Amino acid sequence: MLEIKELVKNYGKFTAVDHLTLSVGKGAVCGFVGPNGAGKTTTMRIMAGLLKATDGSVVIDGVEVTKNPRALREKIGYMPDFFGVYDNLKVTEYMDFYAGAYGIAYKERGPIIDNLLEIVDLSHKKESYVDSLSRGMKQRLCLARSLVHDPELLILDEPASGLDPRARVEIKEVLKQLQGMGKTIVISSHILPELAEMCTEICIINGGKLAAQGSVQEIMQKLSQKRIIHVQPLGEKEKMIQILKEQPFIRSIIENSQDVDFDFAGTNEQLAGVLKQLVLADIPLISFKEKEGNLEEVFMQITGGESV
Amino acid sequence: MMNPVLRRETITSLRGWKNYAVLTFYLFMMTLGAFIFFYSSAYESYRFTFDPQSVVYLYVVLGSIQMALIVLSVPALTAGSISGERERQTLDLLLVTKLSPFSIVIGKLLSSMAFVLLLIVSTLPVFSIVFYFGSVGIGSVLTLVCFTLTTAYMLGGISVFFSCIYKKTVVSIMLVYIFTGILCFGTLILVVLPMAVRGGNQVSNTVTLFKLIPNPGVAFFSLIDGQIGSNIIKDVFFEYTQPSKNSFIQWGAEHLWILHIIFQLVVGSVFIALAAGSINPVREHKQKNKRAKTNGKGKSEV
Repeated sequence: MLEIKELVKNYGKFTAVDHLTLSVGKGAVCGFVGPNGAGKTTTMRIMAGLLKATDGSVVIDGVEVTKNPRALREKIGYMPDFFGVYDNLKVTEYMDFYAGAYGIAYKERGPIIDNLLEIVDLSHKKESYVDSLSRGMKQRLCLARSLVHDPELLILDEPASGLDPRARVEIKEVLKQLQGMGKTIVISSHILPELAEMCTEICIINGGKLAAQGSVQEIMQKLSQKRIIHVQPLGEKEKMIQILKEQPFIRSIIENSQDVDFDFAGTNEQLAGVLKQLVLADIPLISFKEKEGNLEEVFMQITGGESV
Repeated sequence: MMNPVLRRETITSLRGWKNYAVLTFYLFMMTLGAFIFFYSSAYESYRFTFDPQSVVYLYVVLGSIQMALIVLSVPALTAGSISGERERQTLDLLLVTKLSPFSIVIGKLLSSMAFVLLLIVSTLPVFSIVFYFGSVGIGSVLTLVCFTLTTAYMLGGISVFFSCIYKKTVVSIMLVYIFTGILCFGTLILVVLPMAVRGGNQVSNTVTLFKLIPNPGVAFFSLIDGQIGSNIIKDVFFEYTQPSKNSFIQWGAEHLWILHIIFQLVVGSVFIALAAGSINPVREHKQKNKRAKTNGKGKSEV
């Protein structure tokens, strides 16, 4: 659905996007993650045809962005990180305006608008003025606006930025619904756990370059250098630590008040051997599991600790 | 299908109070102009009465006020059209729709023009005082309306252009007023200064005509001259300068306003095209691609 090849964007001497190459399949939900100034918004604006690239190409469903911007606009729905609304315009009029701007016939607009307002849960605000809506409602309305022409690809630049937790959950629900409808979504967000939850793949961008791409699990497996194993005994903790210290593949042991974490460098078979030894030594275990990596930790690792 | 931008602008502007305030002020100024004219005419007469034969000058007064108000109000109405969208952060949302940059610019311009038309139509009752006394026909008033509308078109086109290239509305408005000032006074200085320094008989009629074509004020009075049968513009600018044997120049000196209307339509259209080009996000890319292709061709030839 989306193919970015060797994309470069220079602002004078500063390179915002540096030979970025990535692809997103149809129906995927791709999370765009990167620290401030990584080139996320620039890349998204180029995808939306709002910014000219210095070099490289962006192809969306077979249409090259710069060669056929009109055909592109039918295929994409774009929601910027910051946007405004018009004063003195009601919710339905706002939607009607954009439906008209996308060339939808007047007679067809009513059902489309009703349906979209229902999806974003704003049907009860149909006759309200847009500038009287809360920020969360405006975000949802803007999302509905980006869907008015039924695009195949949605480009959402930080759709949940500046929202309270409740509004974020509401936006997330809408996005899940859109995912269910088979839309391809490219979304950038600051809230990494949320991205991990809803995205089928993650693209981590750093310094305008693609640092990692794949599913959340793949990225974490690829980048996690440590396997931390968490063990919680019911008693005999000291005896357990003694046994663990004798194991050759354990690099370090962290003793907590109730449990123990150890950094394991061996294979799964060797890990099974450790568990067997603890069981044979009659250590009563209530938990023995590998700690799951955290996307935020992986992100910090990749980007060298730069803030998102 | 009606231009969506025009449709939206119409809805939003009619809901706000600003346009009603502008309309009220506009009508007040026109009525005040008519009142002052009547009062001063009567004041100068022996028995404080009004001479119906002087009503033709009321037409000149009203037309002048209308022209001045349009020249002042069009930049204020239009110069914020695109920069306002940018300030409101709604321009990107418009540019990702199927609307072409040209449609966006035209929609904005037409909404301003529609309001200008409303202003002009709303003053027709004031102009009807002139009809009551006779001496000026409906044809003359309609010609004046057309002239005012083409002036609004040119100023609107220039305003939209500045609105596209400058982020701040205030800057756009200031630049349009400076541009209008150059057209009105700059061209006049260019004509008057050589006449004053070298003497009128040393200045060519042809050069004077071409310098005066862009001037909306001179063109307006040239139109009024033709309508009320006076020769003010011809007497002031062409009587003492070197006469031309060219029949076009002679005709142009008498019909300067027609040449000015053509000038307005051309300049307005050029600025609209420039405005549409300047908000097209992929325009530069197209040019760059063309350049790249040309360079590539050049290299391969080498």
